[in-house]
Amino acid sequence: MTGRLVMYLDIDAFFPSVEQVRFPALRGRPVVVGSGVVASSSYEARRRGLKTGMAIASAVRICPQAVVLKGHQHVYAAFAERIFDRCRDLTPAVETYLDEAFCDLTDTPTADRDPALVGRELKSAVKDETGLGVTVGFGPNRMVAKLAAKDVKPDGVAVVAAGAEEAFMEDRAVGDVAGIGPRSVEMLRQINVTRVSELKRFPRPYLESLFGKSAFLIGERLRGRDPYVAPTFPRSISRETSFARDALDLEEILATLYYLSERACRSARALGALPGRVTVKVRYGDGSCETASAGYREASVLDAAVFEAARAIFARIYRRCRLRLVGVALSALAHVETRQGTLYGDVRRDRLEGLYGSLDAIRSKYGHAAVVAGRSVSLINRLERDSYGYVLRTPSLTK
Amino acid sequence: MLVEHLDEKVKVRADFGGGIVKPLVFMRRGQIHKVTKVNCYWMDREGSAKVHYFSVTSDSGDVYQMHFNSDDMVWHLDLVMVES
Repeated sequence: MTGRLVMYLDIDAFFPSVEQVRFPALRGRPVVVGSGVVASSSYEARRRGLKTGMAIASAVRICPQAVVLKGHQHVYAAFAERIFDRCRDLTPAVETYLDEAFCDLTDTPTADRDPALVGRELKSAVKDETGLGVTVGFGPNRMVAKLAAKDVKPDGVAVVAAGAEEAFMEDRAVGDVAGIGPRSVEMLRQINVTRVSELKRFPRPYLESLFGKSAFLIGERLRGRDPYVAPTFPRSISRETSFARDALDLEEILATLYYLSERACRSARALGALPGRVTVKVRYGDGSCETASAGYREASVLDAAVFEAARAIFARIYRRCRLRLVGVALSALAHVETRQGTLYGDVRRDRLEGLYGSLDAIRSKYGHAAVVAGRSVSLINRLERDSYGYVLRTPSLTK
Repeated sequence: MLVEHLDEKVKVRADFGGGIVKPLVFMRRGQIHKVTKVNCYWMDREGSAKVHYFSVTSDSGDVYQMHFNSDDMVWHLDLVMVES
């Protein structure tokens, strides 16, 4: 294959598959992983009509034989990392997500080999090492590789050769195109456009009226071209969790907010990222959601400063009702090296940076739970802890 | 399916050949259990310590999860899965 070659790997029914590997008695049985709602379900469960996002209570009603498990985030991460390591044997350019990875094979020795064979070898290696099934797609760009894999899920290998991408996209539904979401699909359906071939005929100004600034990107993607380049730096770092029971106790809520701020700050410092904005998200017991944000002016990522910013935002939006979820996000990230220095130095900031640097080092060596901040100490009797810190109900990841 | 959490230290005879750890036999409550199959293995960390986890099937047919901490060199039985 000449030109760019991207491989996309997706772990089939990831969470339930790991549970089925850990406990062989679960094989062939409908398995659901989730707490409150279905986070992931095995193919056996999907065949019985269970879907991601469905309430666990509904899932059990539809499929009483389903085995419901809470999920083990660290186990899944360990399995995913082993699979991603196999990808890194092929290329250093691996972009990983929770259960999927994009691998740029361009200009690697692998690019000269038959992609279908590479895919089959990778699947076999992953199966031998972890017992998990994966689907692999190859294409000249990320979008085409991912769509190729989607067509052969689960446990398949698909290749779209360079030059065939436009024909590959022709008959697909418009919703398959990255950047066209459910709302746009509905809008297009109202003007009787459901296929890529129909939308592709629209002139660029018309696409601009439909998609605004994204029109160029979508126009290219309709033709199977994807100029998108993954950012090397995350756009935001967010941590959020739902409460085991809707929370009304302000001390518990603020302690959780502090803990989440602390986790987000530690990740930001590890990446060398300096946030320009702090956002707080709350979801109430009735399901209504609110977010608000404010600028962050400090020249360092300091847990206490980020928490104070988050607390001020929280105070602005909180309606004193039962809370189901709280979260904090750091965004407008810049590299810490780009910050404006001060003419005479800042002793206080330097001392705090030293303090957080030491805390990070201790936590890297002994686990995050080795040091508990006073502000979140009240969570000790409320939440389970492991070496990673408090075991949150629905932890989120760096985006 | 019932999962019983154990959190017990156990004596394990293991094969460390080729840089890979493989539990062969373990003793629980004075009874010897032979590992008939290692269902899966994964590695996690507790701070800087490497912790090797195994899901194994014993000769009684029960499935156990155990781990080996490479820092303190101690084996633990985490849980056993029992068909209800």
